[in-house]
Amino acid sequence: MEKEHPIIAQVYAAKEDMLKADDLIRTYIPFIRSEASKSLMRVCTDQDDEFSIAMIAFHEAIRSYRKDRGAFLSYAAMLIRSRLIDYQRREARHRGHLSMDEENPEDGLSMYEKLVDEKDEYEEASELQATRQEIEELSKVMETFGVTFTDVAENAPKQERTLDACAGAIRYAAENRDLLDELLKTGKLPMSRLVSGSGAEKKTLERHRKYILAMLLIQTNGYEIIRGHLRHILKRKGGITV
Amino acid sequence: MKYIVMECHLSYAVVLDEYGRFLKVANLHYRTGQTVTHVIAMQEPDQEMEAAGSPESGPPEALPRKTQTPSEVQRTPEAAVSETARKTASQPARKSRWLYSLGALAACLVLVVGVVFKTQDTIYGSVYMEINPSIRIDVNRSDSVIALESLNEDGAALIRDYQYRKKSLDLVVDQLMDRAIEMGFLSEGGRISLSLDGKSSDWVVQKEESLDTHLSDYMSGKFTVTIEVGEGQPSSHENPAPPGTPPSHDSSDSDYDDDDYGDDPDPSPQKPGGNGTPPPPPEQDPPDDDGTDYQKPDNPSQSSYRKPDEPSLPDDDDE
Repeated sequence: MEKEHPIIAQVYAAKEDMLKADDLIRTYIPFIRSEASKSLMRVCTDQDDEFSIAMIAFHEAIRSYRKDRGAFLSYAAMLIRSRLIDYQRREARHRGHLSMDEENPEDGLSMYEKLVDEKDEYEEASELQATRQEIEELSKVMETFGVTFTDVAENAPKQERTLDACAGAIRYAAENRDLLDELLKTGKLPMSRLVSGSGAEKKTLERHRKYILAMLLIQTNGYEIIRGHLRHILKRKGGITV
Repeated sequence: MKYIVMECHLSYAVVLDEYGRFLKVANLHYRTGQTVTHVIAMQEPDQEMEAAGSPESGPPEALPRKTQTPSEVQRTPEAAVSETARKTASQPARKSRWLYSLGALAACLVLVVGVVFKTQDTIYGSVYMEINPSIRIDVNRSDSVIALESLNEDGAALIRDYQYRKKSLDLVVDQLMDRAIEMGFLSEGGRISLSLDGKSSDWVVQKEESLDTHLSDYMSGKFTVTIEVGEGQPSSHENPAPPGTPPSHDSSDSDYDDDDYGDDPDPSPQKPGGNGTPPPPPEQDPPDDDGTDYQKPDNPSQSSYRKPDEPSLPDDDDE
């Protein structure tokens, strides 16, 4: 179909450019919705979780598409279908178990809500707001370094081993506040100090530069909530790596 | 596992887990700052597809919905299997991506080297030298001799076993001159004809002049010869040293018509010059380019002499 050719160019352009990717996805929302509906055998609305999954599948298709995989839309449709099937299978497996989120008909509360600290709506809302503020602040500071959360997500370590190595560097920085001061003052990552202080390989830390930058920034003042969330980082394998 | 939603986009969101992992996940109507427990991670393309993406390949986990234990992380078998498969699949992919770059570099180098070598071997110009032996010297762009061919029997004798490779034009001409003298082809009062052919007429003109000068210099101190270059402007050069040798006059500084080539007005130096060589040997007319005639043997009667069994030469370069 001749219609494919312009789209291929758009797909390739959107591979690395998030804005272009979003634009492309937005354009194809009707397509995505209809493909999702086909898979689910029912009408899929924007509110359904399945719709979100279909969208991320479309995004994955953009990232992984190659010309030799045939027409893009067919490829995307196939990926959407496969992700939705995975999702449905997972849901079906857990249908037998008691869902944490399912509400108990008697008191209207789900098990999850009972087990964790009970918060009323206000608390939750204000906590969300506070967290959001921290995140926005962090995002601004990261911007001065030219880094976005998307960059960090793409740059972050996925393997356990590398994650630990980076955690070591972050711990070292947390224990040596002057390092963080230097970072904020100079606008540069004091990589050599991190390497020598944590004993991690320079190559590893260099590879995950943006991630380490973000994590170090989180250790600076003003991100208590986020730091609280990350308690595992500082707790693990206690002590300084020499 | 709990995740904080850090950033929301149309088709995905970025979340941070408790272990410091940042992940791209499906945006299930999240709001920034929200804490969620259930995410569906985006699967990154294979390593070879990623341009500048993360160096590690394993996909983030896709976690199932919590059941009874909120803190337990369960990895579904499919996710685990696909993750392993992806990890193994991407290892060679990462290597081969690097190899592609290496291959491309090697190809470029080969190309460059090939071009360089080719240029070296390309004939840029030819010098036809006739004393009695008639030869052709081919040079490349840097005036380095790349081929040497005899155009007659004497020529063959002259260049037999002579190493010309990589020598400069001037050097070869000099050395062949010496050889000619040694072998008796050239002696007092002899004549050397040079004519040039080349891709660039500038080169031809410039070379003609420089060779003329060069040869004259070289031969002065040996004996008198007549050097004819190019358009048949014979210039004979005198050697002050040998006594008693009449200077060779060349009354023709004027241009000859093309038709008059070979009519040497000054036969005298040639004959008494102790020309050890037999009467002007048959000379091949070197291949002609269209406008230029080469020097013909000085003996007019032999001007069109051609040894019957000498093959006529093919036209090499046209201009």
